[in-house]
Amino acid sequence: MAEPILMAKRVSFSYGDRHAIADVSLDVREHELVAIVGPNGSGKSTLCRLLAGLRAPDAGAVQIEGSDVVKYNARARARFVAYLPQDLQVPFETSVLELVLLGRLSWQAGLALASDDDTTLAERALEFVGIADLAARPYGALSGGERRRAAIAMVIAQSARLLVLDEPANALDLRHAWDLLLRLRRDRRSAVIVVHDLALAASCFDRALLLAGGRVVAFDTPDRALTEATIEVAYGIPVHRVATSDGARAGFLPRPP
Amino acid sequence: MTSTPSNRATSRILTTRRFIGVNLVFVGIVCAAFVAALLFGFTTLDLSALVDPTRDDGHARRILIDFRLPRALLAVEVGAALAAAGVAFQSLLRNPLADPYILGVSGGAALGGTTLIAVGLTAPLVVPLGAYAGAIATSFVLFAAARTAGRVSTTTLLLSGVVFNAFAAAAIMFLKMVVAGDKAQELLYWLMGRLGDESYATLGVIAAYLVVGLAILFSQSAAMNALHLGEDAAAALGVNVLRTRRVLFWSASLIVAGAVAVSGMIGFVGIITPHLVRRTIGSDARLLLPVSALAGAAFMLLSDTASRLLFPVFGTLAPVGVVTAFVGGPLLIWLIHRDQKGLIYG
Repeated sequence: MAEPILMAKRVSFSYGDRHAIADVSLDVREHELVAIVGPNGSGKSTLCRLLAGLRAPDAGAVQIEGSDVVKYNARARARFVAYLPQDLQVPFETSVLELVLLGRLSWQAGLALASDDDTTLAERALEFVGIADLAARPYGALSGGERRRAAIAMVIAQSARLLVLDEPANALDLRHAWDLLLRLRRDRRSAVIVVHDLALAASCFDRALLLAGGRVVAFDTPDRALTEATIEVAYGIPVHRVATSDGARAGFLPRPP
Repeated sequence: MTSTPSNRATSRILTTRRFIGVNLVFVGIVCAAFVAALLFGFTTLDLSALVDPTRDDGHARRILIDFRLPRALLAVEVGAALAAAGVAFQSLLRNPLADPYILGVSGGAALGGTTLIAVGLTAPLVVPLGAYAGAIATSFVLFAAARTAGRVSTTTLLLSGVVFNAFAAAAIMFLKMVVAGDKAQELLYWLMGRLGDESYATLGVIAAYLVVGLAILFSQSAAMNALHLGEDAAAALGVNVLRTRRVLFWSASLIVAGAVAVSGMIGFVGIITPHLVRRTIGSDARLLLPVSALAGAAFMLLSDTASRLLFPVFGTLAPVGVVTAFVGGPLLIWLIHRDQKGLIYG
């Protein structure tokens, strides 16, 4: 079994006196896609920020290569772990290519002028999400799904070993959501990804972490972590698991009352 | 590889060539405005006297060297400072409406400088220090007031800035009321925002403030682009957010203090200049910052020239702050109205 490239050990975090994450442990191995699933407000985004080293846990530790992620300087951390926020805001007019090139910042010095390599990597990232033809367009003029893909391209261009993506499939249609995850799998990326679509979580990932109320309900391969029983515990509604005949893909439907 | 569209995009991203080219264009604009500021005024300059020794009675030379040149240099310094500080505050707050005047930083600096003058400390080196103390103190108070649960609310910040400016104006008026008459005249220009006749020594001091502040701001300009995406996104891209914000904040306050110390509260330059420049060259801070400084210098030169040309009309010299307000106010309202979406996304 491959060594984990990221380890979270009994991590807890509160906003004031509100506990967002309590006693969560997980590990991510090289070339592994880990899904984080759970109902609204279950601590998924907070967990992402902790894993990306953007918040220091109140208790426990997040480690990359054996050392605390919050002890890394920002630049070194950015080369190791890239993070996509749930809602990237671009307040000033910025072209798609300019945005994606920001992903190269941790590899550049001084004024961060783009080298040929930077531009090539940015263009490849745009091709990865299928919007190479939109490179010159202003971000603000894109549709919701196109904006999301531009933001993902920025994170891909960062060339980090681990991706932490908070709802990348947000605003993506069926085809683009599946495309994204299947491509990440095909490229053998290491990533922790928040998804709401349980079919994606059950079908495209190596492992899934099910969160509820900031605590881990299950963390295992998707077929063991995401069962009718665990989903009902986490979401509070009875569900019915449906699967393709070969069992490769599965999803959940709420049971009628 | 995709061909045409991405090539078009590549030509828009910042390269050394684009950086130098765009800056040179704006340097040219500043030079033109500078020459205009030297040539035009309420006395007609006899240019031939400058080159023809037989006709040189020293009059034209004196007007040029003793009056117009220092005043034009001052306009360049003040305009560049206010516009560059505007860019920095807009980046810090991720809001195109931020500006040292609106945020109250100008008001705080003016109050700090005024207080020193009121107690009799008027040396050219000391007044900017008082203004700096005022600017920093104001910013601390306003940021503290706008901070709830670790987050700074931009709306609260802008609102308290407007309130603070009114407060500072009242406090300056109060100081003006209680001090002796000759000082009162000196204090009045903090409120109006005007360019006076400054000595070359003072110009040198202000230039030092400006150059140091601008150099520090420019060194952070790549990080500023990341900061536009928010704290978490910037940190994840490799920016030390706390340190960068602090550096931006202190150096922007430094250059505002330098400008306010000699010119008082001049509005609209810090907001309108970056706004117009952004529309022309995009919002990449690495280019926006130097180009806005240049455009601010040109705007100030032209505003001051206009105020001097209007002397015969009004029989008095309109303070340059009045001109920038008369031009900038309606222009800004028109821009906001025409392009509300542009203010949010561009």
